[in-house]
Amino acid sequence: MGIPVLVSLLGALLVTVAGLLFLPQAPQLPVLAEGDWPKLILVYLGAGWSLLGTVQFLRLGQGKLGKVMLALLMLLSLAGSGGISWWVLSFSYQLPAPAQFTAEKPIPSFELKDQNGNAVSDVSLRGKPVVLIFGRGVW
Amino acid sequence: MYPEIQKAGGEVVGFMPDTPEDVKAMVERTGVKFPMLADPDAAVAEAFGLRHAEAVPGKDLARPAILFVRADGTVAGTFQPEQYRRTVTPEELRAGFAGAVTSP
Repeated sequence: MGIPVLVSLLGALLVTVAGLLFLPQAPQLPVLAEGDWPKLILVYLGAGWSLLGTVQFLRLGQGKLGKVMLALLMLLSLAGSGGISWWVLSFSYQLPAPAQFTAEKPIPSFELKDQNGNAVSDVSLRGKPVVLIFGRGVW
Repeated sequence: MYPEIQKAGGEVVGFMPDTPEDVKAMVERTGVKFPMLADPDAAVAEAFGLRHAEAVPGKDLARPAILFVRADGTVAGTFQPEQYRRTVTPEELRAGFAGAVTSP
């Protein structure tokens, strides 16, 4: 094996390792926590590496079969890193289980101030149908 | 949608797990017309079972949800998406509100 082969295998290894780093977090949501960006960078680095490897093998690889095999391997690790980042990013938007509301139970009592300083409570809203919108907030 | 609900005798109330100052700034920025309540420590979200604890490290936020409440204060229906990027469609809002109006 020449040096280019070793370098490219390292790229594939990087993608695998980066994926494993995220694995312990799989059961908890969101997957991507604050301070996790170095792991994501590792995934993308592996992806870039694999892409470079693919191009290199198509250009310099010895023998048609070797070219195709190694290019496929590189593409596989590229797909791997893409998959990992897709999974991480999409599941970072997951939310905890929905709250249960029974049709008969009234809403809990509350009293808060609105943007103009007016107090609004569960009692002040009685007598008309109301749409309550809970926002995630500006953060 | 807000005028439509008001015309039908309904009201819309928003809850934000932020300080009153942040809520005021947000209302001014977005031009929200209905009352937007400040729920700084997500205590009311907690009472509704909608607190999303440690959604951001060190801060509890609310799990996005829409509740359709009847005139007697009971819940007629809810909209609770799986992912917070999913937003309510006008049809869902209309249908949910209609449920709160017509049901006993």
